[in-house]
Amino acid sequence: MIEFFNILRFIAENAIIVFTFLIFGSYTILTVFSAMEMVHYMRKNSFVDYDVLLTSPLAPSISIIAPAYNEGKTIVDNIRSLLSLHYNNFEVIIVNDGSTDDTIQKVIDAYDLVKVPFVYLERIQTKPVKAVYQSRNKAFKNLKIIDKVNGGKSDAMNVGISFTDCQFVAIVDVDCVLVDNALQLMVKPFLEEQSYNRVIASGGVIRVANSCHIEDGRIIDIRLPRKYLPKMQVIEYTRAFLMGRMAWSRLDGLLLISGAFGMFDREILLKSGGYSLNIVGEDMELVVKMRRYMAERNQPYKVTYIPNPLCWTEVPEKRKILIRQRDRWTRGNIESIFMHFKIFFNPKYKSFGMLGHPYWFFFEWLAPIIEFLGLLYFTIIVILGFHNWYFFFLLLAFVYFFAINLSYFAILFEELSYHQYKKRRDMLKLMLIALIEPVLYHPMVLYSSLKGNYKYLTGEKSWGKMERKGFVAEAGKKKTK
Amino acid sequence: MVAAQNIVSSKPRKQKILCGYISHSMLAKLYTETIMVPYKKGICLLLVFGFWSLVFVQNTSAQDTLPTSPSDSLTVESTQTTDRSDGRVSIIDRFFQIEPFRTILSKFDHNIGFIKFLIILVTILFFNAIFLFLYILLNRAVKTYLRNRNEKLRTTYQSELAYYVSLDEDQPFYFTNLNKRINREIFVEELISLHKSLIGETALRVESLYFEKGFDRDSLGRIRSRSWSKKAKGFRELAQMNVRAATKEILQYTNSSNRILRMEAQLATVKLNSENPLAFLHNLKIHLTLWEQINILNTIQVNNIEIDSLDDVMDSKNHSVAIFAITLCGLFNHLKSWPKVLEKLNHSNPDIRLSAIKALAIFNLIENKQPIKDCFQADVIESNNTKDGFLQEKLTRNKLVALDALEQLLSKDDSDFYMNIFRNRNEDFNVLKKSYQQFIQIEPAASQMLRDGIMELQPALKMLKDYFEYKNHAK
Repeated sequence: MIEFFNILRFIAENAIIVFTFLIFGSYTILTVFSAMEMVHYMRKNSFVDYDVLLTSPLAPSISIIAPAYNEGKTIVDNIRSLLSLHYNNFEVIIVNDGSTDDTIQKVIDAYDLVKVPFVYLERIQTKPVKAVYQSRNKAFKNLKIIDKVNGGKSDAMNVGISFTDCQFVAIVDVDCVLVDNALQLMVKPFLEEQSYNRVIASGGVIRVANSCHIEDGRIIDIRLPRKYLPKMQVIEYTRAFLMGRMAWSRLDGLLLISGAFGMFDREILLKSGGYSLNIVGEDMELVVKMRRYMAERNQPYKVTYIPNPLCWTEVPEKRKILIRQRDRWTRGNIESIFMHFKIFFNPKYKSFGMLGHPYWFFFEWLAPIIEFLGLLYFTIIVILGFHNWYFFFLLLAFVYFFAINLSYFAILFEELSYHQYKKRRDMLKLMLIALIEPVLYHPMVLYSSLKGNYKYLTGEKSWGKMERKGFVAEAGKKKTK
Repeated sequence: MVAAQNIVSSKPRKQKILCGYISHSMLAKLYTETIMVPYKKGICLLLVFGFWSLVFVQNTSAQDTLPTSPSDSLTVESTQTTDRSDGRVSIIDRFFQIEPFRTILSKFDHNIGFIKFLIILVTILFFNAIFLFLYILLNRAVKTYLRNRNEKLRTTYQSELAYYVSLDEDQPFYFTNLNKRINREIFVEELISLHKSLIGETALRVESLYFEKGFDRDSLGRIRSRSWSKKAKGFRELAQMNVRAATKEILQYTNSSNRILRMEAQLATVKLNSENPLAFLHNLKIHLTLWEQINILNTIQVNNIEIDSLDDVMDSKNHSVAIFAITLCGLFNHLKSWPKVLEKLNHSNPDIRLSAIKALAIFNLIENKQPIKDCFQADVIESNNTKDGFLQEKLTRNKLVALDALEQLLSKDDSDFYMNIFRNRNEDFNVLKKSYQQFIQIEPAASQMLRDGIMELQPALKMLKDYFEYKNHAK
């Protein structure tokens, strides 16, 4: 019996240690790749004049599609922000997904909208469209509002995609703030590769807008969030976007383009079936589906990623909402991983199948589970008295310092590239927050991942309510102060 | 005038060094002079990390590592930190003779190799975190210092240049400290920026200043540099200052595999080669991306460059080049190239056909009508005969553009053309929609004609009929 127990201990300890080193090794490799990609991008970008797109007759058409559900508080400003983007050939389509508040009425009043006849081919089956509105004011001629029966975010986006004739579609969360030249930056990768290697999707960096000064849908002053939870998410977002996704872009294994802002080749989007309904991770699943569509037809393609901070979004400030959001993200990851398990280590899908999918399987899905099992194992051996505190603290120090190093590298990348937080105090705060983030924030993320796994197993598919303060409220508060 | 004299005589203020006090800017200056490029620092860091790993691997390869069997993990191993056979003490052993590492190590009685590895790793990570912390702070100070310094220089040179262009040609003028490399770089940037906003004699004056101060040599030096970014910068400067002598040298980079260098060389060539700005297209072996096309077009438009004939380029075997040439013909309304463009409607490549249709749409000649209709029919046949979804997508796009091109040229005689479209069961919905819209404009009896059997054949037409009738009613 003791012998058996010793064998179990041996296997468990070594498995956890090997897994830890594998995951940290992969993070190190990703850091190196993202540094290479970042240096390359920054040098390349110093020669680019994006303004040529503002007047060029060759600039391709882009449709910005933003689904809206009960966004009455902010919708008018958000649309104004989208309409003021710098590009010469674009339209804004807001899909009102059966809001129960005054969203549609507010937009009708603010933009002088009237019902117009419409006809389009429903290339993806969706809930029925009730009406289409366009403005009588010529200044808003590129604005279209589609009012439809409630069918969820994916359904709303699918309506917009079917409705437009533009070559590229930019999917935007209506409550995000895009930088003025976001479309110019995002469309460039499509123009650079077009003929011989089709770019099917492009993503950009999402940044945390909490406590930033926003007026009329534009970022006026970038500030570090005042509250601790969003501050920690700043570090997490910087790590994920500037390090993780940049590296995956270089390795051609990018599986996820954030639902907050991404640009897609409309034709491939439609051919691959658009957004899947009744899932919670529709953004990741879409990219995987599009990649599969191209790979299975032996068509050369590319999914690109640009490190510019293009989109600013509000992140949860309350622990409960954060956990709800992350639990949903976890379920989304699991859905995409298992719905497309055919890709797993399948050489047909090249680096996407051999690297990207397995990475998500082992290090995004499995890692929190193994971490939890590790903690459980440690508790058991402490109870049984088999523990070695010295070894525990040594391993803990290793994990802790590795995490801090990763965060500091992410902050360094940010400093050397876009340098968004101009105040020295903000950056210092960020670096100090990085010291407590592994202890205070990580357990929360771990807990939500486990919760997400549990919910997935029990078949729960709810989105959960995501409360937002709204940028208008933030700006208003500032003015009254 | 007094103010101007002040500008001329002003000298950069010397940094005051106070005893016992090091200012941020001094620290930054010291830093920039000792450690030049930030990312090189990162490479150094990796090398240090790599070195330690190598040392560790060398020292522990023959020693204890992870347990290989269950029994190993329970066996107490000796804690020997043995000297090598040649009697020398290894770096690792020396490391573990230092406190507190010796004490830490003494707490373990097995898996010593792995424990040593962890201790070294933790130590490296700890010091690296401190290093990164300081580096980020220092980097911020450096950036602020450099930004302020450059801004100051920029303002100085902007005022000096503004004054210089207002002076008479024979009046001497001395610019502040143009011997330093950084000063020269900022000066030339300002000079080029000023030149972009000037025309006529003043622009020529700025050009002559560029030559007089030897910046042409600097730019030529840049294009001979090994760094592609310096080369690209050199191309920009030489093109802006119209240094035509450099054209030949720049031309060889128009086929470079580095896409930035290639595009910069192409743009410079367009600007400098006044006789035949697009000559490089004849020899272009690489795909001309849409981004490059947009930039070349912009250079042509901004600099009012005359494009003579594009007939030869349209025959290029490089399809992207042919497409660009046809597009330019349309955009610049090169009617003399009309026969050549018309010929391209029969090209086997659907992308070339598309650009030809677009160009013909701009020409808007009645003679285009039949060839475009023929091209449309050929696309319909090709589309019906292929199962390649990607090709079908291109052909549908071509058909839509052809319908756009025909819009202004149609008459009642073209009813049959539309009826044929409606009879095609495989036709794309958007093609049907556009065709229906045009058909009801030219044919008063459209509803009657469609009712006779075609509505059943093409159910989408019923929907389109309702849509357009409602639209007309709304008007």
